[in-house]
Amino acid sequence: MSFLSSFFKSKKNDMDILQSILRIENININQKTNELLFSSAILLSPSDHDFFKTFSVSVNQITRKIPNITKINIVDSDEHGIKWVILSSTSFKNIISVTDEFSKIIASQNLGDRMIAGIFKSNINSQDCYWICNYSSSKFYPFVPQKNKTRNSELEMTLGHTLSKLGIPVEPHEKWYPIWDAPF
Amino acid sequence: MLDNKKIIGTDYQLTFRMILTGFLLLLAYMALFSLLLFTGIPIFLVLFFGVGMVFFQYYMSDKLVLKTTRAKVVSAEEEPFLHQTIEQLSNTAGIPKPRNIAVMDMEAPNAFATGRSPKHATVAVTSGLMKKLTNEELEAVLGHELAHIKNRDVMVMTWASLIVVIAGYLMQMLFWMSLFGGFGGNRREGGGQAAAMMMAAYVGVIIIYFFSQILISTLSRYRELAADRDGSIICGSPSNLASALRKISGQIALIPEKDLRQVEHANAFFIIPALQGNAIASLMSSHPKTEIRIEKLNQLQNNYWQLFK
Repeated sequence: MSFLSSFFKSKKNDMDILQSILRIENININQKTNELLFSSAILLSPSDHDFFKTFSVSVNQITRKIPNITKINIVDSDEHGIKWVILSSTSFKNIISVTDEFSKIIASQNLGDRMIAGIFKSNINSQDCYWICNYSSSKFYPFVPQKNKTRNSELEMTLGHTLSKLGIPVEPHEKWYPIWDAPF
Repeated sequence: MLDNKKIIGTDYQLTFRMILTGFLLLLAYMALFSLLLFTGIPIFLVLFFGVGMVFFQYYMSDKLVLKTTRAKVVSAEEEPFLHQTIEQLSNTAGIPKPRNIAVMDMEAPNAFATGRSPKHATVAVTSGLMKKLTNEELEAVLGHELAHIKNRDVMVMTWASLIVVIAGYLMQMLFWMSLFGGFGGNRREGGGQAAAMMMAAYVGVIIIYFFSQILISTLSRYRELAADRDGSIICGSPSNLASALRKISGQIALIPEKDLRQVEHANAFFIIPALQGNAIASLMSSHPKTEIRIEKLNQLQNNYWQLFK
């Protein structure tokens, strides 16, 4: 299963959908922070697999196969012991295909069950907003963190509703798990 | 005062649906009266009881509801915000301030409006609603309730329900008749044929009863959408009502606090599909789904200023 398989199940293609997300009606996307729109991350839960033993090397090997990656950051282990691969690209269109290709390669190495989520970052009304794709369910949900580990649930509800309207599979509210302190 | 007709405009799609539902209800009435003629049950007797019951309910609705919900009528000194807001909104809507403003000592956030006319209206809110919502959201909910009063929804729904009351009486009557041999009649005088006729009437009444229930529920949902629309225009902010609905429905309370990375070990649970809403339950529901109401309000918010052109 492709990491972004939920996109492909939709009538629209993946590019259209994510671009639509960022053109959400009535929400002012802060153009000054445009570069933030072109980042994504893949969260991996490590195992005994060789891939994780030489994680940086493994990731670099994959990234060499994928054109259009401008920058790559690796968080070897966060406070939950989870590994982050943070990808950046010069265009939003590229970041989608890059994230998709990257996740396909990981899945092809029988590591699909180690992928927790894919996250796309954007900025809405001057607030950091994350579009989280839960790999296990292939469903999306928004996450808008605020100070002191609080979240803007009102905005999340509006964004979640917009995702639904776009035909994107959305997680039920009780599964909108936060991902605090994202390193990007 | 707002010239509501000019500003609110008309939701033609919603109006068309209401007219269609009304037309189908009319057909259901005609079917019911045809059935009464067919079986020979005296129409006037049934109408007398049905109309009497509904009229009593309509005339006494405010008193009955206040009593059953144990809502306490509050003065302007006790609840100044409620009184002021309702007075302002009533002015905007072009209706008199409701006679009673009441508070129910209840944690569950809720509100209702009742009364046979704007002059005899009652608006009640729960204490939980006042605690849970911001002033702007509370104002939006009150606007929704006042829209029900302005649109005379109590009258529309009470009288539309007359058919369900009549069909319900008939169902009971025919049921007891069947138990005590009323369907059998005198076999030597063609009682078998009469029994078959009564049985057919019984089935017909059951069908009309459930069909009418569905229509009444449908009409009720449309009236709710109309009250959402009109109420949020009276308040000037559809998004405040959308926000209040989210809080009242408890959707926000469902959002978990645990980090996704902490729950990733329980991945198996993610595969379980979310429970789908029960189609029959939603068909019989008096209120539209919260998602639908919020979607409509979001659309209205997006096009809000065009209403004033």
